[in-house]
Amino acid sequence: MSTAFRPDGADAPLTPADDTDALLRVNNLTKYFPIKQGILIQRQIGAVKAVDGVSFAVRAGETLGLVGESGCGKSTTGRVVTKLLDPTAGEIYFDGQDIAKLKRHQMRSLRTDIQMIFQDPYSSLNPRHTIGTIVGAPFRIQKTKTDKGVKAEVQSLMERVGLNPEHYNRYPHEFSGGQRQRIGIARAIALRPKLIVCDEPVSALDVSIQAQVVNLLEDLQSEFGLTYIFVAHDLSVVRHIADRVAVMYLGKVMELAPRDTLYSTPMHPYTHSLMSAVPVPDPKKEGRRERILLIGDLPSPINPPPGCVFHTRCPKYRAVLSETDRERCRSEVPVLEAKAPSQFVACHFPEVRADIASGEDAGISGGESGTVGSESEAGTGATAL
Amino acid sequence: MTAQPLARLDKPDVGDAFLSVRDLRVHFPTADGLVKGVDGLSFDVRRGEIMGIVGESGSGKSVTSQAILGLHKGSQARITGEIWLDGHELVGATEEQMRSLRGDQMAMIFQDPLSSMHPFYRVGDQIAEAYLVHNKVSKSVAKKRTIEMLDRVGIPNPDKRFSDYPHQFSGGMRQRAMIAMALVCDPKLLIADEPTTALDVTVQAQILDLMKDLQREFNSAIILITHDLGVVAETCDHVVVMYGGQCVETGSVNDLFYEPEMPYSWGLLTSMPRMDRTRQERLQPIPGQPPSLIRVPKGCVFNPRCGYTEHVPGRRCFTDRPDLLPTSGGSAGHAVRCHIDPDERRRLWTGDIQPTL
Ligand SMILES: Nc1ncnc2c1ncn2[C@@H]1O[C@H](COP(=O)(O)OP(=O)(O)OP(=O)(O)O)[C@@H](O)[C@H]1O
Ligand SMILES: Nc1ncnc2c1ncn2[C@@H]1O[C@H](COP(=O)(O)OP(=O)(O)O)[C@@H](O)[C@H]1O
Ligand code: SF4
Ligand code: SF4
Ligand SMILES: [Mg+2]
Ligand SMILES: [Mg+2]
Repeated sequence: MSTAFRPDGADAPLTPADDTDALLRVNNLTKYFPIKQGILIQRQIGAVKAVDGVSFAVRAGETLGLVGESGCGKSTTGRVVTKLLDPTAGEIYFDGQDIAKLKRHQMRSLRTDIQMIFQDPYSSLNPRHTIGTIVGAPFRIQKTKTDKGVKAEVQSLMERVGLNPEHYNRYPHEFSGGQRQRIGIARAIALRPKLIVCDEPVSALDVSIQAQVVNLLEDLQSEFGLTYIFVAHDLSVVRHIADRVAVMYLGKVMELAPRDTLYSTPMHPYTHSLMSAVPVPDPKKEGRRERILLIGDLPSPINPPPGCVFHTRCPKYRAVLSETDRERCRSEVPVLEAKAPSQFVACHFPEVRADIASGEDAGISGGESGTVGSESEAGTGATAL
Repeated sequence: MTAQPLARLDKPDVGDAFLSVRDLRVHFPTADGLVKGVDGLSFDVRRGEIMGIVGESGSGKSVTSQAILGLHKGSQARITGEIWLDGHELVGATEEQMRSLRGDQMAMIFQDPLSSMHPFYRVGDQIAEAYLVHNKVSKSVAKKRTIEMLDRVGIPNPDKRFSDYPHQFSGGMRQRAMIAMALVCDPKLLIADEPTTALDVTVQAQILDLMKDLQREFNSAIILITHDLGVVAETCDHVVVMYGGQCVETGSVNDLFYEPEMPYSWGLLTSMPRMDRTRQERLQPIPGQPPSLIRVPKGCVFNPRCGYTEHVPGRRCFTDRPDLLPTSGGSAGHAVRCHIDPDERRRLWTGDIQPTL
């Protein structure tokens, strides 16, 4: 049986929220949405367990990627962290202070320090407001600048995110999807926040525009020392932008690891399936990849499976484990704990699969970025391991 | 109207193509001006072949598929050119003729299965109804056929699921049901418009697998519209790259991924983060915005965003629209719309672009 990796022989397994220097620490975060019935007297008859005991930490200046299938709780996690929603339970330490129980309006600093960028550049901007009004709103609420000062500041922000400052008086519908996303970014960085939760900021954009916005987010991060939580379902984009990645399934984190570790040596069976399902733009490689198909549908978050929430679809559970082991998967919730240095996995039977992400150079790349792989023939190199 | 050189056809007959689209133009008169949704598009699809159409949003992919299905008939759209389906010309066909072809000869899978299944009718009844429209059989035969199809596309307990309403299906199941409905009459041409865009990758993998099985089993001609080059690499045999209502490059998947010759195709490949390569420090986006289809740039549609106009003497990129011409070295059927000298194009790809991927 695999045991947790214990860095210094300490008894307690290192949990992902143990990182006390982090800018943001989330411990056992839970968000249930009550389901009510009745017209006059509403009774609660159940709950959607959107987020169910999530723990992670984000260090200042880094990007934490949050991936997983639709409905797994990524956006809800982001909304709770920004206090657009109140958590049902759990702790959220931001800059050392537990903000879980505070209301957003109770915290002046929170309103400037934590911002959010939304997926849908159409619905997240008020169609009746000009760009000047939208991007200038944070300054007007703060009342620290004159009208003239606000305009100058907004125009410089517009310029910074690649919009024409002369379009100050235009309305959202006059901009393309990519430009609207730039408006959302300008609004988010206006007050120089510390943390920005980016909820699928590029998912609705075409690849050529997506790359422009990704580069902009990276530039702003280094310029202003921003910390990002980057929610996305596209594993390729997340590999590009994130330093560490958390993989969610049915309201829980299944695996959390540094980017290169996660993509080269994923350990959780769900991470394996997810990665193997991403089609790679290389026809020759594509033909040789093993796809680990998941069978069945995503269970309902109202009534998640007992034990390991993934067991109803886990290929390992189905095809590899003995009945005794399966019994454990069905009855005991696996804890998210370190199974290798910095690699947290919530599975009773984790296993390194280095052949999944499919690149000839997807092997151990050790974190040095920018080194172009040694592959010679395009796309025909052998898969790692 | 000048005849466009055809991608994989030089003789006037359509060869072994099951579908042949020739110099298709679909223009919409609007208050702001004439929207040239599709402007001179030609391609062929054979039976048993999956043809991918890629391009960014607004490039004319859906308008093309709607034209093939005859869905613009009775609208303001002005359509010229020819669409040959198994010997029938469709641009000149009546609405009635099109209606009898749809469902029977050709079928469509849409991006959003909810919008194409009626929410108030049982899934099974809707599929059986589609079968009854084109086949003179009893209701019980149609029901039996429907259950067979539901089973075929991997719906568990199809006889029980027959009576479910669409909202009782998950997204992936609805997409399967859509596929079952599209295939119930054994159409010879299947057009799938972004069939997996709204789905998660794990479900997408299941659906794409299913489509490949069906292609093999029924020898259908399939058009798969997508903006995901990974999906193309995984699923398609041939590809049409669309930009600004035109085909700017066409060829086999190997041509597109290993020997592309058009700067827009290069841009698509370089701007995409890739899980299967060493992580790049920085993505290389295509600068600028997609073109307005009302004020289409003069010359090459891609010129406002193209970084290679200097490689063409005499500023021809800004004055002459390039023709879609066969590449000299490439495989048969590989054709490109670009003024750069073919040798120079290949040098740029192998020397400058490919090494950065
Ligand atoms: N206000 C709400 N009331 C009830 N259920 C909700 C509410 N908001 C979210 N949920 C449910 O919570 C779960 C998680 O939702 P969330 O929006 O966080 O998913 P997600 O991972 O962001 O998915 P997507 O990629 O589709 O946006 C889903 O089952 C969703 O239906
Ligand atoms: N009925 C219509 N009237 C006017 N313009 C249209 C109509 N249908 C599509 N268009 C325009 O045609 C262009 C191509 O659209 P479409 O084919 O839907 O793009 P996509 O490639 O995203 O599917 C777009 O500019 C779109 O706005
Ligand atoms: S705990 Fe069991 S069911 Fe869950 S992922 Fe691990 S092996 Fe699969
Ligand atoms: S014709 Fe000119 S503008 Fe068009 S793709 Fe070729 S080089 Fe670029
Ligand atoms: Mg979401
Ligand atoms: Mg479309």
